[in-house]
Amino acid sequence: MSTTLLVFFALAAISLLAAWRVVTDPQIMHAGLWMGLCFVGVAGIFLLLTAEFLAGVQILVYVGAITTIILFGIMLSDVEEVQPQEPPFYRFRRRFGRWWQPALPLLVAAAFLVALFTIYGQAGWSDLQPVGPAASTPAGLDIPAIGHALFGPYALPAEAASVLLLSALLGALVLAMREETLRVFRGSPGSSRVLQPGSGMAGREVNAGETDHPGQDEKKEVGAGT
Amino acid sequence: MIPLGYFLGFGVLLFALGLYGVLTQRSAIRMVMAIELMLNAANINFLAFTRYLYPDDPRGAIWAIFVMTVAAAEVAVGLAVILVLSRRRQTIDVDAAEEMKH
Amino acid sequence: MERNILVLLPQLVLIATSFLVLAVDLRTGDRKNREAELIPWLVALLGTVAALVTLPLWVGQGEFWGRMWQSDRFSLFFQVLVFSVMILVLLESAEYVRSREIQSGVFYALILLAGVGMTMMASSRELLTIYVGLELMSVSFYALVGMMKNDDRSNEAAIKYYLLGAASSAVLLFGISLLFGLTGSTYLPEISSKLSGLQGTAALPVAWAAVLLLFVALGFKVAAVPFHMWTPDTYQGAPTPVTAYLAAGSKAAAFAALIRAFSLGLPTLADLWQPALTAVAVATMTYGNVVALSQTDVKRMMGYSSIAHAGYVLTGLAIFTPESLSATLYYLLAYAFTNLGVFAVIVLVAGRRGNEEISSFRGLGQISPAYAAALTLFFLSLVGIPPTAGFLGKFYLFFAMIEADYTWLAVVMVINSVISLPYYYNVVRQMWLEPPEEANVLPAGTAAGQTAATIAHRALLGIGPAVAVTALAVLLLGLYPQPFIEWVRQVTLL
Repeated sequence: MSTTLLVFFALAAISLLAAWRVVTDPQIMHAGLWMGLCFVGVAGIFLLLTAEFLAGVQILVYVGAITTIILFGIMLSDVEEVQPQEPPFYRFRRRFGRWWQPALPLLVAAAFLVALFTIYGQAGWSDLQPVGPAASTPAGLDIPAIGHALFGPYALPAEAASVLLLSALLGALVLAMREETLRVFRGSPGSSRVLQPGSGMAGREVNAGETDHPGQDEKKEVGAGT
Repeated sequence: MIPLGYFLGFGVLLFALGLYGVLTQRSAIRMVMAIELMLNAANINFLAFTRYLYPDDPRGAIWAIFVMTVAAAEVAVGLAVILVLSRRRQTIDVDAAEEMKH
Repeated sequence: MERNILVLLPQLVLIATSFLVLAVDLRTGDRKNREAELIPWLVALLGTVAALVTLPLWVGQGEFWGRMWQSDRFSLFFQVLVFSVMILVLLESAEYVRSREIQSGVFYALILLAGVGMTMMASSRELLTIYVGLELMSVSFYALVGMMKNDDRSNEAAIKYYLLGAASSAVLLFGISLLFGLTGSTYLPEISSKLSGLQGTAALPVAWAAVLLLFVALGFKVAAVPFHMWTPDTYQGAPTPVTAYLAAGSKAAAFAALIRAFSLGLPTLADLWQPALTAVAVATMTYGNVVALSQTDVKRMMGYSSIAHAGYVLTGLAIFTPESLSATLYYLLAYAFTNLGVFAVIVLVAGRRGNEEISSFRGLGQISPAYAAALTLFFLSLVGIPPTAGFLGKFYLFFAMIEADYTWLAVVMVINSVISLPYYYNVVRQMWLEPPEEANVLPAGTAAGQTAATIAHRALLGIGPAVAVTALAVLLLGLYPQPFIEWVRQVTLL
């Protein structure tokens, strides 16, 4: 068994163990940290695939940005575990009772595994060796080649991705900012007033039957006071 | 050298774990994490295919870069949504407490 | 080079408008006077109209930006559709955004950016562009759906839509990676030619798996059973104009991507996916119609109705003849206008009552006969009764089905239309045959006349024109369909 193979198995084992802990660790903070470890392991796998640039980006984006955002998200949402009131797959759970709760997802995942392993084997991909010299980076994973492609033939999606980032920025900003902060940001007259946690819920009065413009703070105060 | 199948198998295992997580978790943040695992599995596929089958085509690497970009954007919006939800739950608790006092 | 810019002109106009909306909103967003608040809305509306107006500068068929952007009649059709949908959605949102304390600047900017994503999905033969467009649309929608931060249902809708949407995009990516591994390309015509070369080899099962994963992912976006579970909650919880946008715009764009991917990239596997799609289509329409029967909330009911209509549209792709694809496009056109009309009336009624219970529609026929008549017309169109757009859309689909020896499918569709009749009729009955609920109309001492005045006042801000335009479009598509049928026939793909 060669050294690279050993390294591969070590990295794969670490990543898969970490991934397993992500979905099973009772502590959500630990799960987030396991996820970071899993991403590091995947970056190692990228290195074995001679994709140095992608390994670097993986560390920067996944470990540096995404894991950090998620950990921040965990810390900022003080509620122990944020759940939708009715999680997406809950209705199935209710209908089929509790017994399959661990069984069916396991079945789906296992079926996926078996099916894809069979298919890969049939396609002759299991024992395939790379063409060309073993350790050198192929032309397609070369950094200059990636750069030329990204700003050459793939320029349009790259530009579109920047619009996507703008959209995400706007969305995250408007959702995550508190109402008061937004008002300060927009320089509105009501900005100096500090809202109590309970009085920020103008939505109810607004829904109840409004003919007047509900954005005015006076009305909100009256509504919350009564 | 490592055969292609090992990398693909690793990708499938990672994807299956993510899929299992998405189907079983009730916590929104945990589901986001599981989805990230699935995206990583797709990236491994793209790079492994590039390395073994199409060594001269940068397409796979380009895809991987886009997946990472989009994942970052998605996570940012998703966590903002989750944040609103958690903040809202807290507000509700505070309200309930205040109503009890009166 | 100029042509490369020119072909993107509508998208560039929309992006520039979204910047302008944000800038204008910073200046006028102090909520001091009502009129100033309308300025961002007006800018967004004018920008979208400008984008629609630039379409006649169409540069003709061809590929641009390498092979990343495809300009053809198909993309032109969907750009016209998406921009019209956007204009109507904007008309519907003016009053809604103001009364629910939604951040108007960001709201309108995100609507514009989502529109850019939708047109991208329809205007490319490269999966990478389609994917980025899909994500641009989805990310904008995640925020739009959750925009009412003080509303529990809006939060709930956003989180459900986000979790399932993100999971489905991960599935989509895995499917695409398999296609890439098999064919070495993500350019649909190349995928198609490589796959036909692989016909009969042992590697073909990889393509089957990829088709399955692709369909699962896009099935989420079009709300096909069994991937529909986000639809009712999201439709109910989202701000009503956003629900309209989801139903008319996002669904059309997802179908555009589905049609492109399957008919252009995977036609060699048609023997495999045609039966599967047929089965899913039948399940989808039946499920949507049956569950819609027991709903009490109009938006939720429309959610199930939209699942049912996704089923009808899927049949067009499942049959997979040039005629049935044209019928699919015609149906999408008819469905978009009808749906936008329905949601315009819902915005109007909910603005009065603050909720969307079906009982809110009681007596609308007395209070406001014009709107009640329009809503009746839209429901006729959704059921598929002449002389409306929906009837012609269904008729065209039937025609394509019978021509392709799928008569049984046409029968299933007729049965489904009959099943759908009671829940639409329930609303119509409440509007015309029940008296208005005086107690709930306005605070005590209000006569019906004043309510009508309130409604008329609200209608000034976009709802009236929106309902008028959609009603006219529904009638036009139903009574004088020849030019539109010619148009969708020219949108040849195959």
